[in-house]
Amino acid sequence: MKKTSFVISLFLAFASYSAHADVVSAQKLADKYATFAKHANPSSTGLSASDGKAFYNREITVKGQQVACASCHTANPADAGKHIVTGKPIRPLAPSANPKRFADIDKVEKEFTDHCNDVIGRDCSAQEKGNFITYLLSIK
Amino acid sequence: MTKDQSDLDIRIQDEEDSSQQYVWDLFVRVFHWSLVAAFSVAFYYRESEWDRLIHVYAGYTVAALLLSRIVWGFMKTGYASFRAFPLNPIHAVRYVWRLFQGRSRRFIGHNPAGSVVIYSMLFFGLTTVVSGFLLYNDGWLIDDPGYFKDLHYYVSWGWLFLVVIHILGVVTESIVHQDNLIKAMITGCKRRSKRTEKSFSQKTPAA
Repeated sequence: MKKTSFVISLFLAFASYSAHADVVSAQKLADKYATFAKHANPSSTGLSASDGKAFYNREITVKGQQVACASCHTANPADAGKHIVTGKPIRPLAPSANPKRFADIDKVEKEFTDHCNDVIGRDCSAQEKGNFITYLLSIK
Repeated sequence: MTKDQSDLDIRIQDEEDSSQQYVWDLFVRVFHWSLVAAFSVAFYYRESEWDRLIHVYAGYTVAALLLSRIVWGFMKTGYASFRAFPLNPIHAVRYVWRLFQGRSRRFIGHNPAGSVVIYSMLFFGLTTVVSGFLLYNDGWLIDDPGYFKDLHYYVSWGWLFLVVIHILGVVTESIVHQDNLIKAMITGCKRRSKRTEKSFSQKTPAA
């Protein structure tokens, strides 16, 4: 009995660990956004890595500067980035290079909201968020 | 008896005395309102990445202000000295209890409940700037920016909560003891106390 509970708790410990630190959780998040996108727009045909890539590199004029996600996170999301305002280093965005990314939906939602407001002046749609994660997951 | 003690050891004979007494020195007043300004700037510019530098410089200003206030508190600076308002949660609870009974005594410096809030604000303020510094200069201590982000978030909101408590206390005190504590933090002067005020160099509290 004691042994069983030990094994179960060990299993649960591993299960909760894996839910927080690998690309599986990022994929789960992308799937969730795909569901939302389908709900918001029934004609949505699923997530697209190439649309995500275009979104990532699309330049928008903010405060007289041409900025895109790539401005801070570099053209390759698996590389370390550099903050264009503070010059501080930024950890890689792609889950393959940084497993802590896209693990917790609350944090991801907060970051999306803040960053989308900073760059495109509104929150991103579920389709855009899903495409974005799909593109990042395509980077090995 | 030291000079500082004689300066603080004020015994007013006249119960009806309404003259003014200098309580908050220039450093404390400038510190207080600079901290209000720096805190507000950092709070207002907390969200956007475009404002990150303003937020960080406001935070560094807060850090410098808090550190200089702590140094000032360890010096013999009258009512600003930490010895003039010891941290005593039991006295604080008793003070609040008496406040609700309508028989709280008027303090010239910080009252025991106010003192607890002041020390809590100093602690939360320091934790806020340290966590913010570590978050901004990623990976200094623990290789987990998420930890510092959460810490900075919760501690700074906790600090704001304490500021609200502080303001509520100031308003309550001003009404209950017919003081204008906001004006006192601008001019530095308060109505003279009708009874012996505990000074930082006395060992036992005034009965």
